[in-house]
Amino acid sequence: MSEASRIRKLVIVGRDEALWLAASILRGSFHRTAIEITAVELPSRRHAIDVIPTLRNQQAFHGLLHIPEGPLMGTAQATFTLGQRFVGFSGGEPPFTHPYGTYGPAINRVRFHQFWVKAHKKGQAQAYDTFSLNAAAAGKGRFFLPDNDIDAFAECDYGYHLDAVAYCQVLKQLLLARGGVTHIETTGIGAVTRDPANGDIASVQLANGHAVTGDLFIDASGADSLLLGEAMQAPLVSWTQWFPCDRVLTAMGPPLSPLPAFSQVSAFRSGWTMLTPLRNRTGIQLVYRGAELSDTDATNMAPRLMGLPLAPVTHVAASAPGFRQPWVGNCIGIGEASTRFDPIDNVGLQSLMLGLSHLTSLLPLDRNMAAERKEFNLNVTSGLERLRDYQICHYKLNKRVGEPMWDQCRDMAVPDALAYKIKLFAARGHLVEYDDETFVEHDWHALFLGHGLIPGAYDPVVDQTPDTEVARQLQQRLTFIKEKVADMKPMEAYFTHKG
Amino acid sequence: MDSRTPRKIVILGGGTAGWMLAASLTKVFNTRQTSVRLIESGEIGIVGVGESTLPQVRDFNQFLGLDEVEFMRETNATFKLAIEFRDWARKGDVYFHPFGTHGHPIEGVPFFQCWLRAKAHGHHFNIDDFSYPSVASREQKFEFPSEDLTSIRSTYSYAYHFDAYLYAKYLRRWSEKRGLKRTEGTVVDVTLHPENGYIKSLTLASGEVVKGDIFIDCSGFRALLIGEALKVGWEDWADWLPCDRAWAISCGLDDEYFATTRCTAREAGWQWRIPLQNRIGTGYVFSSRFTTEERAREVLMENLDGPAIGDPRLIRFRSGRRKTSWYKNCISLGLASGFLEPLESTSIYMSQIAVNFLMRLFPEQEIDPALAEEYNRLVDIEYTRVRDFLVLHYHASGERTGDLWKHVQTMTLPDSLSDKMEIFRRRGHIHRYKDGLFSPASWIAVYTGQRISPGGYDPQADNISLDTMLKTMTDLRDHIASNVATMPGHYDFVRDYTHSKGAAHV
Repeated sequence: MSEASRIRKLVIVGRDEALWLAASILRGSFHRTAIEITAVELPSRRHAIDVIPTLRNQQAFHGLLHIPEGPLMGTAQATFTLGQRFVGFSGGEPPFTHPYGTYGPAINRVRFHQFWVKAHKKGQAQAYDTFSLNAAAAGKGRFFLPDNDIDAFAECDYGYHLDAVAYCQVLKQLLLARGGVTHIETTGIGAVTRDPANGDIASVQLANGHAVTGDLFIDASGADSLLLGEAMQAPLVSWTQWFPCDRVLTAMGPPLSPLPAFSQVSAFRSGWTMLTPLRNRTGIQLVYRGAELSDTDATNMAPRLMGLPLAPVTHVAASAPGFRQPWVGNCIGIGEASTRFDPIDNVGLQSLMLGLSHLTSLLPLDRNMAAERKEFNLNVTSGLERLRDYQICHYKLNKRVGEPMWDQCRDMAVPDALAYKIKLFAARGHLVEYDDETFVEHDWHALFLGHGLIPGAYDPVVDQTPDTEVARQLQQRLTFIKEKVADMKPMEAYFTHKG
Repeated sequence: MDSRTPRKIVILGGGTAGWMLAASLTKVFNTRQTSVRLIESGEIGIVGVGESTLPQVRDFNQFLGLDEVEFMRETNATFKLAIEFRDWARKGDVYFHPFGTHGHPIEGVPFFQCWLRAKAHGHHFNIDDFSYPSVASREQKFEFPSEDLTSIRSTYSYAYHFDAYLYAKYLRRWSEKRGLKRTEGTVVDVTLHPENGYIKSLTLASGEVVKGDIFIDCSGFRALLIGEALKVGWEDWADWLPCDRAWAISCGLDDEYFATTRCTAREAGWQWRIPLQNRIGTGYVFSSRFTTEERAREVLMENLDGPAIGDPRLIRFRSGRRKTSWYKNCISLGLASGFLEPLESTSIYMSQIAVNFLMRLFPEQEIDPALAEEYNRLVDIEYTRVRDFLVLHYHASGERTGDLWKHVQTMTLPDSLSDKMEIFRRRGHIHRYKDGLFSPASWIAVYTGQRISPGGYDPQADNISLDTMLKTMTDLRDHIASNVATMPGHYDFVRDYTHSKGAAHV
């Protein structure tokens, strides 16, 4: 390491949750060191009606940032989510839930889903998600925090639905109140000066003409990718061949009562809709293929599709999933500045946290940062690709026969790593797990079995447990779930702060 | 019922790999429905020179339901908390690779980064002092890890040293008692199905023809089925791991045995020392490219810790692995599938993990090639990870001189290893991966033990007040030392435990 070229100044250029989470995480890890952190705030792109849905890990991140849950949820009109319900993807099959929790223990050292597959083949199985406590609770309009019995049965987690603008405000206020970060607002950035010797960013000019210099630049500017894409010219590798929808209509409806502890995704001919409950309203998105459905038609059909009256405020944006190598030179793109995801599965915030957690443990020592860059790009890229693969399955595994968009999706070639994963699951219910996966075994089981990818065979070891014993254990699980759910309360009872 | 389960499974070879699989199949499958037959040549009656294992072997014993006391008595087992490496990077160096982590994160910062920062500020703590099992090893102590997870006494795991021949015999008795059919015999011919090239049957010297659906090749280096019959090739790793011979011998106990495997670097290889209850197994692993068998024998005999029992035995091997471990209806295990020298005690583990993968991917009567593909992918990852870790010990051998050491210090490394070393050298960062041995704690132990010093450390460590950090470290070191001081000695512990009536600590 060279003392002379030590990293002393981090500059984060961005907006909204990407900026505030990046600044908060980096502040948390480095504010007592000699490293200075500057947050350059660009105008918000968030609309008043936007909702940020999270996966189950967000709770832990908030814990690290010392963000108290109750007040955050109150301010952000937030609800808990136990999982996500998928409707209409599999022809005439009933909806299924991807629960944010596991399905109960193995039987005689064989994973539970193998027994389910056998029962299913004999026509004796209830839907796979009936064996998930999260899914059962969500289905009955209940919410819970695990007690000891439940902890012994399964790992049960939850995510949030957050009002986007309020969430950003909470993050910003907490950050600024805690101090230690230089905060600059600007209406935009001008010239980005690069070091002629190595191409690194030397400074970023603000709207007022002032230039902000730094050793390391974090691009949190969202899909504009002002530093990584524009200044550093990191090429965008398109992922659109796997994601047929290119338009996203955001709208809002009246609040639901009681509040469901899940979000719902429903397929239709030209795309899908999502419904995310907040305390004071319901977030709505239509994600569709522009070539099949115009924005006007989408807006007009939304109330009928959702079965809800919609407020007149809506906005439409383009969606074009794609990937840029996140770290180039001394510039690191986090969130959408590096990778734009399809809206399905709510992975946006998770992709942001993925980059930030690796950055925290690989913040370079000095300007000669090739080793950190290589390691970061390796880990983060594979993490992002595995998230993408999970999303692709919703399209690839659909059974909406006779609808052009969905027919094409079933026929498309998927990335090799995913094709292999699907092949092994289809063969024997065996899950191939790679490095850097956010979604783990139970998430994939829920996805595959939910979409009707039933393995051709099950583990022969299953047959060594007598059928009567298996039936008894399955019944025991259903009884446990039923009794637990009966004791649960609606989600509102768990709100400690009112919005 | 199991109409989909293969009816006939034939295991060729009864070493540890063969018997571990045989026992697993016997445990899992009802033998009236699925026949498992093991064919081995007559007993050779070799005295085991000691096998050193990893904690995973306890999962295996537990899976079978073995009683730990009985198992230890039957196999002459002692406990193991760490490997002690001597003279590797520099003469006189001693370091431990323990079954446990070093310290705990301080204010969320990985402990090792705190250690690096302390060192950069002139505070040279011995990293071993922060590992409970390393300190216990050094003090020759042992007891079972505490079940109270808040206690420092819970921060480790343990494995065993045992006699692998006795272990195989023990598993044999266990399996035969439960219906496994064992046949003594040698294979004189292998018949393949003409249409698909699957193995159809084995012909024994007795003239008996043994048919089967699945054949497991545990025939050792000869690889009678996967190699000779099916012609699956071998990937040679001798350039990276040039040792190809060992002289092995047992010697009398000079002293109380303690809970570590000792690996001492020698002029053209290294010497193991594995304590059993009644003797010490020892041997010199060397490279015939860089020394002679005669010289190697001398080196071993000059470095015995007690009176020799019999004459040393020469073992030949080659590092590498089968290109495809599962091919058609033949699955190779143990040496038929690959060999990595025992420097990190991985031999039993490699058989065990292969058995695990096989049990998880066990084929139906009709073999789905996807299962074989996945099995081979998983086995590959395991072999490659261990290989890289072993190569690190040789390559980072600091100031050692001699032709072998010069070769390994200057050889071109596998990319998978040089990438890991690059980011470690830069800042002590451990590349993480999901599958396969070894955990970050193991890498830290070996990197530091082999004197690889990172040029910097994670700036997060600067976020902690130096005084707080140093005090936390000092307190932890003292806490470990005072707890270890009250532990019983390993020798006494093993003697008392193996003479106890029974226990369920497997």
